[in-house]
Amino acid sequence: MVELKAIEKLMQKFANRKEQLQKLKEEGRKVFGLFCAYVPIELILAANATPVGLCGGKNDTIPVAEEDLPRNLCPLIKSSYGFKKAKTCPYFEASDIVIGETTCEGKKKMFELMERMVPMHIMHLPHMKDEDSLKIWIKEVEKLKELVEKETGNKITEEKLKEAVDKVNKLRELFYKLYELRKNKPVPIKGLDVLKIFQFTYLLEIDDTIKILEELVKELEERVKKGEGYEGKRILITGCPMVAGNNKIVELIEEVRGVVVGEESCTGTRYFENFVEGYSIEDIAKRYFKIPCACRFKNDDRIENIKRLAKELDVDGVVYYTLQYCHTFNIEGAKVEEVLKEEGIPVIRIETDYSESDKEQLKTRLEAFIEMI
Amino acid sequence: MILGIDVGSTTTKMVLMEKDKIVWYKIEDIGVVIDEDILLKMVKEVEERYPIDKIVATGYGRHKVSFADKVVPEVIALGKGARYFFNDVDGVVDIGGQDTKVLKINNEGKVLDFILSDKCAAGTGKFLEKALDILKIDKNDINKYKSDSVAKISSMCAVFAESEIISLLSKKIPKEEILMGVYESTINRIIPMVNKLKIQNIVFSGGVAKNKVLTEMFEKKLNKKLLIPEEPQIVCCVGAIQL
Ligand code: SF4
Ligand code: SF4
Repeated sequence: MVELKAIEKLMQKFANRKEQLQKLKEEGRKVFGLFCAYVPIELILAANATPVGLCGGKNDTIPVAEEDLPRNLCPLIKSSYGFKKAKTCPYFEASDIVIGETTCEGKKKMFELMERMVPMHIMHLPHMKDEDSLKIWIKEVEKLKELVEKETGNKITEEKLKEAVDKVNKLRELFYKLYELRKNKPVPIKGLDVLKIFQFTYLLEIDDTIKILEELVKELEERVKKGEGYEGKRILITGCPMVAGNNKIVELIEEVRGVVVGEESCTGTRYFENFVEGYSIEDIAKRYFKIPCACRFKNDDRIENIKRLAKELDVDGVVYYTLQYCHTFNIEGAKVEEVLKEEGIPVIRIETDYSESDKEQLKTRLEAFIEMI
Repeated sequence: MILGIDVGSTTTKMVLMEKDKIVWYKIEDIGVVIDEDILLKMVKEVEERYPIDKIVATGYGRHKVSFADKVVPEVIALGKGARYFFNDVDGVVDIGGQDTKVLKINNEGKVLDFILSDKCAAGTGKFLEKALDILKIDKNDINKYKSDSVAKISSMCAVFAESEIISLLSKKIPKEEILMGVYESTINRIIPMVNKLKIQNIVFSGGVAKNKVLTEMFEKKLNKKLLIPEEPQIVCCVGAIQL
């Protein structure tokens, strides 16, 4: 099938992004580096600044990171740290300040070391989901607002904030549309393309992303009308984020005649699900508080979400994906597996890192799984 | 006749079948590093004696067999093969060189669920081979080493287990006791996999199934008899042909 024009544009934007950022910075724009889907980008946008995701997805920077960090640690954490240490990530180097959060143990403690290399602000994300915790989180979002204002020298006015909320909601709406379109059979877009979109959404200027997504939706509607698309066993991926550089599993699934039709992940639904309803700091905080990350205690809404997505997208099977040493997602996998089995939805659990060494073994498993379902 | 080729990580198996009958088979001590030329030569030799209508490839190195008419994943083949050798089975344990596979299958040999041991070598053929190396025991003599006392090998990791074996040797613990310990640690890795899939009537396949002492210990711990084909190494290959 011919390449989607929107995807070509996306790649192009990505290729020019370094210069674009450079230019924006010269014009006085501040850049905020982020490590997590929990950081409300609305506040950053409302202060006329640019948020960029910094999570590392490459193996290359892991050896330098291991000079300071233990080997048995999540590759995402090591890779991210290594990028800063080796100064090889243009987004990192462009960041004036980096926002961290208290999500998983590994990231939290890594930030303590990273703080020595770059200015950081850490948000306290409570692990419980009760009312008291929400109160803490709202305070944290307020604090972020103050920090952003101080860093940028720009006041976040009500008007500015409203504009930013609407914009990010617009982006979310487009992602919802994309997911609607993926319900079609054959599915009009392959998983690898969608993964790239999520990965680059963390890196590009939001206005650019919105434009590209609008075009994409149109193109896909065309495909659906013509009945064009990808056949294969329909797979939902759930688990750890797959940030730029880490496409291994999706590539493998689609090599062995599967097609990824959904991803319950931070490079997936956790990024866009739920709109911000209202324009106050509290409204914004509430939307982010709902993100069902495995770092939270009693994260049952995630399990419900997976069940719902599996049904809505009419999947043949679920690939539960964890990065090595990611305890939160790995342990939560037991519950997810149990529930999916009860529902009669086949599931396979895959644990891997960023190396290429297990590719053949993973392929064997995925191929057998796809053949089995 | 259909020729099945199973290129495993440490051995290559060839089976020739006419309908449901095994006509000929061969096991070569060379695995995934095998050259395609050698494979072709082996096939030629068979061709000189029998008419081959179709070639099916499976196993870890199945993609090396570029001349195959059909390529099937080994997990799927294994389920089918187990059903070929036995009626009334619902599971398979296969200890191969590279990994250990535990399958739950239905009455037709279709795979319903499976678990493969992870990256780690503990609980695989490789680990056992390594242990034999350190203990300086010849592969062909393994069935001679047996003991009622079992040395404790506590490490779950193959690399650490290796140093544990060496330290046991230096403490003058008899080889057979250490070997029993190696078996035990291997089996202890596999039993949770069996329990997880809740399988009852289990076919035990792969090269390790030829190890009588290990099998006996495995049966005792599972508290049931295992079903072992006469040649446990060709189960997957036969299954590939049957698919
Ligand atoms: S998985 Fe959790 S900690 Fe990681 S980016 Fe997503 S929300 Fe943040
Ligand atoms: S993938 Fe898991 S271990 Fe790694 S940063 Fe995210 S939550 Fe932490």
